[in-house]
Amino acid sequence: MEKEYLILSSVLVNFLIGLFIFLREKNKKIGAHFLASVLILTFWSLFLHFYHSQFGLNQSQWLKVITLLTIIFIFELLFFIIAVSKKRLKDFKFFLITFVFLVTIVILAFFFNGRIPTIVSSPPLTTFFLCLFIYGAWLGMILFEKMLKTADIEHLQIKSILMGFGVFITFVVIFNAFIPLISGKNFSWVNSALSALLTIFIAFTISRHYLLKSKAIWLELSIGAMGAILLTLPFLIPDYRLKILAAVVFSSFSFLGYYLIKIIREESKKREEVERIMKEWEKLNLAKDQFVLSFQHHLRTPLVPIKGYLEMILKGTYGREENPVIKEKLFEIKKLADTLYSLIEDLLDIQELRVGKKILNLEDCQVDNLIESVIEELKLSADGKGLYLNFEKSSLPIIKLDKKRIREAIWNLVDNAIKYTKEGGVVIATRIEDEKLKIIVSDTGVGMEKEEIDYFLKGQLFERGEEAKRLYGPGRGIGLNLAIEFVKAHGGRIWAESKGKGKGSTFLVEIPIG
Amino acid sequence: MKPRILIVDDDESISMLFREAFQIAGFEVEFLLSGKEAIKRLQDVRQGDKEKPDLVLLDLILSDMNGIEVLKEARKYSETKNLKIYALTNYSNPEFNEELMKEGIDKILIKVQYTLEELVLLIQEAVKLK
Repeated sequence: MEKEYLILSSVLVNFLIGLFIFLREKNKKIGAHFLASVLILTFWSLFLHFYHSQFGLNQSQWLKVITLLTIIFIFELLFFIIAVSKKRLKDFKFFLITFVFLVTIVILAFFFNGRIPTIVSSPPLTTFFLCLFIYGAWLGMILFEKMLKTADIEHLQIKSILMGFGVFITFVVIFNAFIPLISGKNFSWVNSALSALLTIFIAFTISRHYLLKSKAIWLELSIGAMGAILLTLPFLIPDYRLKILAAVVFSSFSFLGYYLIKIIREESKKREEVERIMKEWEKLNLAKDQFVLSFQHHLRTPLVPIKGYLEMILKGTYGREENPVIKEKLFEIKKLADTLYSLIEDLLDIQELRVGKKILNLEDCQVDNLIESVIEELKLSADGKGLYLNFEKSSLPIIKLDKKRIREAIWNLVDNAIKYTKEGGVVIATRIEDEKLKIIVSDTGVGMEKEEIDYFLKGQLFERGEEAKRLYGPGRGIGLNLAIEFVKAHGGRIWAESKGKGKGSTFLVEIPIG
Repeated sequence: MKPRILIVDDDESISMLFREAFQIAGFEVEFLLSGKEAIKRLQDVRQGDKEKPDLVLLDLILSDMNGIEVLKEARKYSETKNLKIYALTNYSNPEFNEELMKEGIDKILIKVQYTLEELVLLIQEAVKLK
């Protein structure tokens, strides 16, 4: 009698959940297919039980019904997948042809023999069902393929549906084939309960658009399953003292389980929120980059006449300027205009690299030569401060790089090192390690505290080191930022090491080669 | 005869600067401040009312339209189809550049990236090649 209750309640649960999803799901097509699949699955498991108990009809008649229902289910599954994967029926030609062929044979057998041929005959899980199983797996594969192509929520939903079906089929096989074979007993009444569990599981995943990670779902389901097992214990144990103990265990587990699920829910919610904010942040960041780019025209335009007229004035187009002070100041203005120009161009370059509008101009490059040319250029400023500027050369192979940008990155690192060093000097070294080019710029300068390096690594580069700020006043954090962006664009990274304040800093560049 | 260039740019100070620089370099310079005027000028060329310039320097962001529309207008008619047109702009965008190439721009120059001397040299070369 209990079995019948279980089956009846499973059918009811399936129907209600199917209806609920159908009414709530925004995509009406998917909702309808879900309801249809759930109903077919429910009746399938119900009829499998009737087949064993010979309720109303005889076994052979029930078998026909089950067989037909299975065929319908495979068709329904096909249309469900077409709806989900947004493919067309045309794409499933081969599947349809072979399946219709198989189905025709089976139906013909119904009419001509008046009974199902031996390949389909009892027990139900024989060759024919194996074929159906293969078709089901085929559709599963299509769904799996779709999963690989989608992302985020849809990906998780399909993954959960596949996992749900996988577990369901495994249990169906265990209860309908393995256990009956071993014990000789019939467990077909379990199928209804299994189908209800599957329905609950899939409904749960479909209805939660901001799906918690599937790990959380599994945890919740295991807690539920564990609770169900604990609940049956008091009924199974004959000893009443143990009964009480089991009941106590069940209640405390329920209590704990409730809080555990609550915590999981809260955590998942928080995580979803964080993910949402992260996405929002990325979107805003991109919008900001694009805004700067759309502004390029306005940033550059005033510089054209400034640079142009200065050029003409200094060339003497409007007459010779005799006053040496005015001449000197004009040259100073020209220098500053050029600085402003290169700052704007650098800024735009970074933005374009960031939004993927500009790509690297890769060419064969002798990095040692590149560094030597940087040293040559910066030697004067090092000499001026009485600093040494050494290069520990290691003969590097030719590497494909964006010459201009990598040179600029190195230039900025060395320039910074000189700027923030009062005595001692700067050493540059190169080497190849694990298929990566490493460029190391060490100085004996102001050094950095751990927090400052952390700041640096987190990309808050305009925060110059506290000591540097105190000692040297305003400077250009943008040089470092530029170096980082250019190296990043090569798939590499820059980081810094320092033993602390006054103990110098080392900047390391790492770029994958080949 | 002096080579004739037509500058289409809505920024007055830039136009003034270019006019001065190119006149000194020996060009006949004509300049227009809007896309509408440029299209009218192309029409005049077609009807034979005005002389065809040797080169057009076209800004892409004009106050009344996108420079690309002027380019399209020029390429539409046989009389101006082969007119040499350089984009001289401060706006660069790969997608936009691609469209310009498709429409048959001859060259894209970023104003701020050249000194006047370099720019004049470039244009002199272009006119000579003609």
